[in-house]
Amino acid sequence: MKTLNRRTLLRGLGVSIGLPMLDAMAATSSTQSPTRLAFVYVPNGINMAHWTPQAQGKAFEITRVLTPLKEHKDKLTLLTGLTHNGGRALGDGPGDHARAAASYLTGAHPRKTAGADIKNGTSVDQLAAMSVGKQNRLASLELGIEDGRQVGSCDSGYACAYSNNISWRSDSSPMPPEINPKNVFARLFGSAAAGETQEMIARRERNRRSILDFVLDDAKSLRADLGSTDQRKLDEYLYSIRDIEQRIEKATRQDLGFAQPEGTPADYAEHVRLMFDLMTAAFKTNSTRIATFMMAREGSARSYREIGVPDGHHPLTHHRNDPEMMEKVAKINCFHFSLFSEWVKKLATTEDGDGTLLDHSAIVYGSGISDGNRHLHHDLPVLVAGRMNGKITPGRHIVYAQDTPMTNFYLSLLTNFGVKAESIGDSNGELKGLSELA
Amino acid sequence: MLLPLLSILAAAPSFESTVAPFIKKNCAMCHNARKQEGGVNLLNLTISEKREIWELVVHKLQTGEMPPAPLPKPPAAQSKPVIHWIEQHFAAIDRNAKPDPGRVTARRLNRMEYNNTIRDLLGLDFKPAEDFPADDSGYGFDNIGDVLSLSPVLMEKYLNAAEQISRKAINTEPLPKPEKVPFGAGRMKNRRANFLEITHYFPSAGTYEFQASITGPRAGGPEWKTNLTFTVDNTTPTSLEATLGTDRPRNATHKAEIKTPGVHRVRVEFDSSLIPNAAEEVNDKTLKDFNLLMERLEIRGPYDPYRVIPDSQRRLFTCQSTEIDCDKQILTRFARRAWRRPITAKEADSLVLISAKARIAGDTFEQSIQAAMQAILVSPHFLFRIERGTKKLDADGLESLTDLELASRLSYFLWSSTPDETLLALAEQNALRKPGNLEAQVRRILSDPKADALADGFAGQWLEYRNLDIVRPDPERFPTWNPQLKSAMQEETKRFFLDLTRTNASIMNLIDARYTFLNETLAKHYGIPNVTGDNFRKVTLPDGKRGGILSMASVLTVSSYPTRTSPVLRGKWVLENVLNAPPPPPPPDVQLLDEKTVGTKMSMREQLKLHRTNATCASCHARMDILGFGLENYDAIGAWRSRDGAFDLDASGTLPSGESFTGPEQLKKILAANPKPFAECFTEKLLTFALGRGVERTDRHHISAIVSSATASQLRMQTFILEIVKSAPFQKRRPEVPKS
Repeated sequence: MKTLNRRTLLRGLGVSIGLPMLDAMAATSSTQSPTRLAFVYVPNGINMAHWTPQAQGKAFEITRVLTPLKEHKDKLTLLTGLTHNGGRALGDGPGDHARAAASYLTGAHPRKTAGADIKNGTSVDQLAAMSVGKQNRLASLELGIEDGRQVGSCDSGYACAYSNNISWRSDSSPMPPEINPKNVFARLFGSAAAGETQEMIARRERNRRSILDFVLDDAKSLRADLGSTDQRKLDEYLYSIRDIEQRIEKATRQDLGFAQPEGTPADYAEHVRLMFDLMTAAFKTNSTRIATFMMAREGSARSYREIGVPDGHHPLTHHRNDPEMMEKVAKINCFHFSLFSEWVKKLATTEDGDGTLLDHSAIVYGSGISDGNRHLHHDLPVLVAGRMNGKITPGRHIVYAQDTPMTNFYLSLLTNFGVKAESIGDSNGELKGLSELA
Repeated sequence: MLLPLLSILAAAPSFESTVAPFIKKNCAMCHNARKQEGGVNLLNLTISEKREIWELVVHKLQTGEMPPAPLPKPPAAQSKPVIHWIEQHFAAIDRNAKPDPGRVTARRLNRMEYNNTIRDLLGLDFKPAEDFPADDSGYGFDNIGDVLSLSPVLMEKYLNAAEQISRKAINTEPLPKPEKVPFGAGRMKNRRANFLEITHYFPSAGTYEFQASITGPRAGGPEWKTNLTFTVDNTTPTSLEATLGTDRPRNATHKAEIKTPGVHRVRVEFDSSLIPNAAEEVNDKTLKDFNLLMERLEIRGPYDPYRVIPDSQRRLFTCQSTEIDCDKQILTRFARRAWRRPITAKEADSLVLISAKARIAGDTFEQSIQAAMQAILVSPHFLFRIERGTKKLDADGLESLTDLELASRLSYFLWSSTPDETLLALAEQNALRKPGNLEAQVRRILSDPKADALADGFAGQWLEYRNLDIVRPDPERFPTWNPQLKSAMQEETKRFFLDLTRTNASIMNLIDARYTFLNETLAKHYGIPNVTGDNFRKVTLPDGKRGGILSMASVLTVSSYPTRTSPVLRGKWVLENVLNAPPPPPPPDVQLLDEKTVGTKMSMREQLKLHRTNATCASCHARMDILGFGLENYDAIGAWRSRDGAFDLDASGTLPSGESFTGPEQLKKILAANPKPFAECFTEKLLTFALGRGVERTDRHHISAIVSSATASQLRMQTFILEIVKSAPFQKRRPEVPKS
């Protein structure tokens, strides 16, 4: 099959991107749309009594938290029984929140350190991005809501990098989430500065090439002269420069009919909605196929006054089974999920090739903790929305054996995404049953 | 001369004779192989194993936290020799240990450092790093080399920022062609107005024409003369005469020079009093079709546009583009400042090559300098502080930093910014370490307004008042909380800290002082009379309710929950930031405070008392909660109170060490009476910030030495700073073990 040059393609297309041509570009065997993968993270666990359905299989009932997607039950897959062993103490003592976020997409057991020698693992989204990301303008998109800007220790002797990031490019390099919608837009679609002419843009591209050549040479020779820890820092630099060089090749401005956001909305729900809109736009234009989104930092003590919960989220989750506090936790869980459900509904009505974006996506929603009161890392709340291009048969609640590694699920996602991986974190095989008919 | 010999001959107390029996008697009932309370087994633990456990033993005995109530406490006569023996044992080990100044990982500039550096390099007043991703922090600070990572997203922002900076520093914006932009009265709310006021973006400096049109009287009407006045921003208005009549042009054109490009306000008005009866007619409904109003303003231009050359550009361009090697001269000078060191001939050639390439592709000389400037600003030499040392080892096998590296350490420690010309020149001459120079430079650096960064960077993170930006006290419970109050809280602590630094006063003022810095907003919050206006001033406090960080609203707010105070959080804050004794986190699934009953069924104090009956909890909480109780007179945003919910407040307490207090004033006196833990805590935090790495065991004796010197100088702030600057961890580094 003839593969199209992406650059010519996007230049010619402008507003809407037609699917047949994209197929040719992705060089897939059929007229299939590309598969998209997203992970939406909520912190501090979930009030599981209002999450897990009693019944298994197709007949599962819609629980309180899941209610907003009642009409879309046939597009959801609930997985129960999955565990992140890396999130557990394993002799390292307290720090479950830091470990929950750090292990969530990596399956690793992060090294306990407040700074020196950070060591985690590579996350599933980045494994996917390394393999297929080059086909898109952005290899992956990392979004968040809360600025990591906070001082003091983050969690029991763990560096803040662990609780602030779920996406990790390597053992020591987190991919920090962007929280300002305006910047996300600019990254995706370019920002049109006032009065910028075509000539100025061309000049920038030309100069940027020689600048990157210069710093790349410079950094390489500098690296040779440094000690090992400094070399690690230079490696991050070199990786970033190469990544940008590749992206310049694909850079092109697109007109979406979607206005550049002004900045960060003060209202939480509006902020979250804008981030979901940006992910929709990114997937629709195939600017990227992989996204992660932290609806709040792990251990977040944000209060949700807009829904009548003035208390901090994290302190509330240590409810010691107090019904009033548990109810407030459930309220927060419902609030998060209702915002998420708006996005799922949007994806379900956004046309994409022979179906909708949701048909071609696997959207994973969950947390690295189940019961926040006791910091449990087993029986995690996991929901997948979408059919993943036919690789998932949704409309079911699947219960797995206790302590089945969450990473087995990730391994299956990677396989279904077209990425070959031997293992990820503590995986010991693929997760069965995702595509079987019940 | 005989004494030392005698003391050796006498039976020296040994571990077996002093420590082991004490442990067996007082500790081993819980800390044995079977129970292992807190994961610790002390029975049969030798002194050469697990030093951190033995240090914890010393600490817990000193504070009286162990053995926890209700177990009996051993008398001081028994515990003191044990503490002394263990301390002496480790002190001797440290004395004989090979000195180790540690090794600092290359530090990427954080957001604050990036902004300050650009400000000081180019004199540009904008903050390019505002939308960079947040810097992760480690060890409580966001300038730690190991955790400051660099992602492609950030690299992209560096590239964009470099471009923006080069465009602001050197003006090469193309000169626009003249345009006509009309503004109609349609935008006016009152169509019968005799003026128009608009804001307009002027793309360039140059001459502009402003043509104003007035709706005329109807055909056949009389002819009037009036005056039109034009005002740009707040400059003196210009008057022009206009004649109104059916057969004549009813407009006037004003020419003016706009000197700075950007948005300006333009107002044009005609004098209706000069028109006979016009004033009445305008307001007379019977004449409403007369329609006398300022109808239209058209701005045309720019004519003869010219570029405004910013100061930064004048400073950068020290030669004419026609001169030989002018690009080399400009770029060499700028790269030296940006990279904080002289650059090599090879580096200069590479930079010249970038600008030459850009010119071949069609750039002007100025544009080509912009391109090379961007390369300088995204180079690792700019973005990172990379230390390569002198590669010469001293007698202890340690490597000194070069003077240039030391200059950067100094300026980023105290200014969070780049070395200035004075510092850089001294370092280039290898004169920074000459007698007296370091002291003189530290004093000079601190007296510069740029040293305010020490409060924004260090104090804001150490005392955690930076977190005021993210806390959200419940507006229903705390209706006085607003952005003004928040800023005032931050400002008080910042000014207090900077005042201490600049006046070189004792750091113990942070614990207790009879003065603070207030404006009206904060004084009202504190209930202190006679402070009016928004500006801050030094105020002598009327009583002991306030004074020192523990009674500052900033600290009290960040150590509270959104809805209530927490003696536990506040106690933890004091242990971590004042007493240098961070408590271990609670085990999961512990009994927590029953929040909904606080202030109704049971007072907070009674509730917390309950959980201290459990020995496991009591071991930490006996000290932590009591410290927090002492601050209960301040509510969750730091206002004074004497009741909590339905209960009278009791801010008294007895610490495990036996010291008692009845309220915050006395608690502060207890803390102030023993300055050593605070001095150590302060030194450790300041050293962490100064070095950009976590403090390690090998830094312990450096910290002790700094505290001793400072104690000899009445714990003055500048002594701490100077001693840190002179210490081995700041001056030297451990050489890298060669790779096999």
